[in-house]
Amino acid sequence: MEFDWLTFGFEIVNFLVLVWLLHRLLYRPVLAMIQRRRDEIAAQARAAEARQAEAEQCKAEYDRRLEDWAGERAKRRRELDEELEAERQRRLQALEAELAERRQREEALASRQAGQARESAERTALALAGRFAARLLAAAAGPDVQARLLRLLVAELGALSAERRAALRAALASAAAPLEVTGAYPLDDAQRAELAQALAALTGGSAPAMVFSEDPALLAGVRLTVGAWQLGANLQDELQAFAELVPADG
Amino acid sequence: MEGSNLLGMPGIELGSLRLSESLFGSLAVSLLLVVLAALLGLRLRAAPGPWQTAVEGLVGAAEATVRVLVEDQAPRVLPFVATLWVFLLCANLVGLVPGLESPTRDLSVTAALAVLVFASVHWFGIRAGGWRAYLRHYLQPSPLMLPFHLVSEFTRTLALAVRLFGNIMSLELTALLVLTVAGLLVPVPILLLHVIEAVVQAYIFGMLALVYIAGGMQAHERLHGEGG
Repeated sequence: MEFDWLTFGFEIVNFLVLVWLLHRLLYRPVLAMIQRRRDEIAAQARAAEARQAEAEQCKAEYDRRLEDWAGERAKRRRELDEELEAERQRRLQALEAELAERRQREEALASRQAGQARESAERTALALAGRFAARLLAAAAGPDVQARLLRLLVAELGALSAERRAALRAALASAAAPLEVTGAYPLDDAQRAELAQALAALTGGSAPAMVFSEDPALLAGVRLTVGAWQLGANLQDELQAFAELVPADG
Repeated sequence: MEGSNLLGMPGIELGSLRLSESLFGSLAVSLLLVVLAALLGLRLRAAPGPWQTAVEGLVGAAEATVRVLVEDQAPRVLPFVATLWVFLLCANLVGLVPGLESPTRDLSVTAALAVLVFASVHWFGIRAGGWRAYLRHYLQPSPLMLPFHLVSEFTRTLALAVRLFGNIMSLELTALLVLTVAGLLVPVPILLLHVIEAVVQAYIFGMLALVYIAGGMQAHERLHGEGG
């Protein structure tokens, strides 16, 4: 091992030159490049932070708008609910009114139908009663019944009102034909005399001329006819009047 | 060129000057580094390739290491310390190439580097705090410590030179002896150890230089701290 001063000196110079060259050629450019890259990264980081801040601001704005929209939506929903409730109430009331009206119509219809049914039943009952009465009276009709009816007629003639009595006198006076007396059975002389006497008392003079005839359809009793004026006391007229008048009265 | 021997330093005679082979090796390593640095430095791109990425990583790691000790003075110290690391790593590994020898197996080379470290400690220390403050730290904490400081400066510089020289020279000598005695493939583990030792010694030399420089630059701060 020996020490070479020449090598020692050249080595010092060599290393110092190497330091200078590497500093110029390597360290400074590489460090500058690294620093530039760091600056770019820092700039990008700042830009990213700015964008992030902007994005957060946009997000805050978006959230605020969402809240506004949610509030507006809730408000519109409440208004819609209120409108729907009002419409529901209105339609419910209309439906209830319609139902009430329909119920009234149905009740009126049911009442009318019940009345019609009752009337129909009454007419049917009356018809049945008329037929029953006609059959019963036809079975019970006879000269004795006619005699009682004739006495009833005579009594009725005596009890006529002044107006009807005047009308009967006018009809007898103006009639060209004699008074037609129709009976279900022939009248005997006593009955005819009794009738003539009653008519004479009615007219206040002599008895009017009378024509006697028979009609079995009367069942029993007599019918007086002069012109358009009729006075009856027989079962047929009574049954017919019963059949026509009783339903109207009822 | 003379033939190499185990301990000697064959050289080249240029007239009256005798240039050692280690000096040529050192120059060759320096030239290689300069060429590579020029090629790489002229081709730096914003989007780095693999080589640029690796170099940026190494330079960045070196800059970070220097900044840990000297903080804002790192740009001033980095070129010297990083060049120590790079040059010593390449110079230590040259010995792995058959027929070549590591320049750092020459005490003259390692002593030159150690003297440069010694000088740089004072240079950076004086630039950092002024020569009065720098020199005053030799008298701290007591003027009686001056001899010890001076011995420390000398011994640590000597230790730098001898440590590097001894390790590299002994490794190459060991490999040469084993190769001579045992055969071709037997020294392979020794060569692998050489790689590790080359990296470790380069790191130790540069790191110690950095620590010494940082100590010199922070001497005035210690004085202010103690005075305050």
